[in-house]
Amino acid sequence: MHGLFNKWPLSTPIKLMLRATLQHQQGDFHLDVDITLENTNVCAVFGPSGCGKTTLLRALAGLVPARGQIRFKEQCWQSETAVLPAHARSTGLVFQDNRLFPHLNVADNLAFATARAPEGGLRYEDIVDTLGVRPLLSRSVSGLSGGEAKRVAIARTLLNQPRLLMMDEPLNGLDQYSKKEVLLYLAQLTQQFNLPTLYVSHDIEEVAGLCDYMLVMASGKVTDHGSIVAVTQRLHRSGGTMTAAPKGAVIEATVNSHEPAYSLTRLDLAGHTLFVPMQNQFPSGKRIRLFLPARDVAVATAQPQGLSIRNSLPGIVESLHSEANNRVKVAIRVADQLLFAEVTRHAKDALSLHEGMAVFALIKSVALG
Amino acid sequence: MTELSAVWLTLQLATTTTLLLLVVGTPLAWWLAHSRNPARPIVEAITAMPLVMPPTVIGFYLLLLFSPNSWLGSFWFTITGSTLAFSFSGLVIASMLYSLPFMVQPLVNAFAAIDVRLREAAATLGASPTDIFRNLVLPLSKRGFITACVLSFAHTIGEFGIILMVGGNIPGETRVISIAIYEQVETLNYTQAHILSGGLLVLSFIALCTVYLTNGRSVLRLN
Repeated sequence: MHGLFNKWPLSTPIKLMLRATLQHQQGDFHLDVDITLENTNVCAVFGPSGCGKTTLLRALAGLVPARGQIRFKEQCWQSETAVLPAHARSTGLVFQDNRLFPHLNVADNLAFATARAPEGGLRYEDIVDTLGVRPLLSRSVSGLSGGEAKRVAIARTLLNQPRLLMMDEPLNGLDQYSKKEVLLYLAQLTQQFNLPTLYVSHDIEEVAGLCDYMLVMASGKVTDHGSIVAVTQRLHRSGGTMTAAPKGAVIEATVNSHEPAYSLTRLDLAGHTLFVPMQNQFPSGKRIRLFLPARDVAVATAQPQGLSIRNSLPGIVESLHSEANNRVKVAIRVADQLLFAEVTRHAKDALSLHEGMAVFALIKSVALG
Repeated sequence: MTELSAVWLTLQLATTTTLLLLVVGTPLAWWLAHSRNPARPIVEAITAMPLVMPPTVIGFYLLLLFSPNSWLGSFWFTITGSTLAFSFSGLVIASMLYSLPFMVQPLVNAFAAIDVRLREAAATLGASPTDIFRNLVLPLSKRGFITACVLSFAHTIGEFGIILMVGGNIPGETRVISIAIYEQVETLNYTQAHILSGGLLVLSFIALCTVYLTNGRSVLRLN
C-alpha cells in the first residue's frame, strides 16, 4: 500500500492523512523520516529519549527548519519550494513544559487560542468541561499544579481547533496521582473529539489504551510502524534489548459482559475468558486494548486447580529471553496474541521451560487496566 | 520670563527625543537581542559608545556633521531650508544619539528575557510574528519599556556638553535648563540657579524612583 503514495499524487486519497518526508541536522543528531499515516485516531510516537520524537513534532509544527515535504489531508504544509510558517499550519502542539503565557490568567490563555482559531469545530463548553478546567478559569497560571497546568495547556491547544493534535509526553514530570488524572481526561477526549493525534511517549503502558497505531523511532529514524499490538510484539521479537522495550504486552480483547455483583468485566480473548476490574464504560462487543505488565503474569505447566487467580490462559512458549537479575522473560502465544511473563531463572529451570512448550499464563485480574 | 521657556523647551526636547528613540530603538533592540549576525557585537558597541565618550567629543563630531558643508548638513539644508547646527532639530538628533543606549539596553534586556518557547507556543496557536510582538512580547516587556522611556527622558533632560557644542544658547530654540543653569552661575545669579538645579534634582529622583519601583532591581547594566 505504501508504495502507492511514493510519487506524491496530486489528488490525495481521502484515507491518507499525513505524508511527511523530513530531514533535519542538529549537531550530531540527524532526523531522517518518511511517514505515511492513514486515517488513524491516535498514533503513538514511541522511542527512547533523544531518538528525535520531539524534533519530529517540532518539524511537523513548523518550529524547526527541516527540509522535506509535509502533506496533511488536502493541505500542503511544506514542499521543496514553499514552506508554510508555524502559525499558518493547522497543528496543535501540547508542549512537554506546557508554555502557558505567564502574563495571562487561565481564561485569557484559553482566549488567546480561541481568538486565533478558525470558525466552528469543537465547542468551548465541551472542551472546558471535558478537561475539567472550568474551576480554574480565574486562576493565575503560576498557581496551577502540574496536572492542572497540563489540562489547561491541552484545553488551550484544542480551543485553537487544530486538525492534527500533537502531544509531547503529556504525562512526563507529573506525579503518580496527576498522571492517572490526566490519563483519564486524555482517554475521554480522544474518544469524544475523535481528533487525529500524534502522541509522543516512551512508556507503552501509558499509550496502550489510548493509541491504535504506533511509530517506533530510534536515532532519528522510524524503525517500525503498524498497529500497536503488532508493533509491540515485533519490539519483543527483535530481542527486546533496546531500553525502550515495553515491560509487558499490549493485547486486544472483546468486552463480553459485566458482572456488577463482583465488580468485574468479562473479556473474550480468542475464546478464552479474562476477568478484569469493572470497565462498564465499554459496551458489550467493544474491542479494547489492555496492557499486561510482565511482572503480573505467572507461568504454570498444568491447568492450575484451587488457585485464587481467576485468569489462566493456555498458550505456547514462543521464546525465552534472559534479563538482568537472573530473570527470564517468557513470551507466551495465546491464539494470535503474545503475552509476557517475568519469572526467575530458578523457576525457568525447575519447570524446564522451553520453546514450543504448552503452558498456562496466570494473570491476576486486578493487575489489568 | 526666559527660564520658563527653558523649562518648556527642555520638556519638549526630552519628549520628542524619547518618542523618536522608541521608534528607532525598538527594532534595533529586537535585532540586538535576537540576531546571530556576526556584526551584532559591533553594532552593540556603537550603540553603547555614548556611555563612554565625553559629550564634547560627540558634540564636536556632530557639529562637523551638521555644518552645511557636510553631506548631512547640506542634505538637511536642501530639504528644510535651515541649518541643523544651533537649531532645535539638531538638538533632537544629538539627544537621540546621546540617549540611545538608555533606550536600547533596557529593551534588549527585556526582549532577551522573553522565553523563545513562549513565542513558539504562540506561533503554534496561530499567532503571526507581528501578532506575537503585539500581544505577547509587548505585554511581557512592559517594564523594560517603562524603564527605557523614563531613563531616556531623564538622561535627555540632564545633558549639557553636547548641547553646548551643537546648540549653543539661543532662547526658545536651544537654551535648555542645563544651559540656563550654567549661564546663571557664570553671572553669579545663584537664586535662579538654585531654583532650576533643585527642580532638576527632584525631577531626576522621581524618574529614577519610577524605574526602580517598576523593576525592583538594577537596570543600568551593560549586558
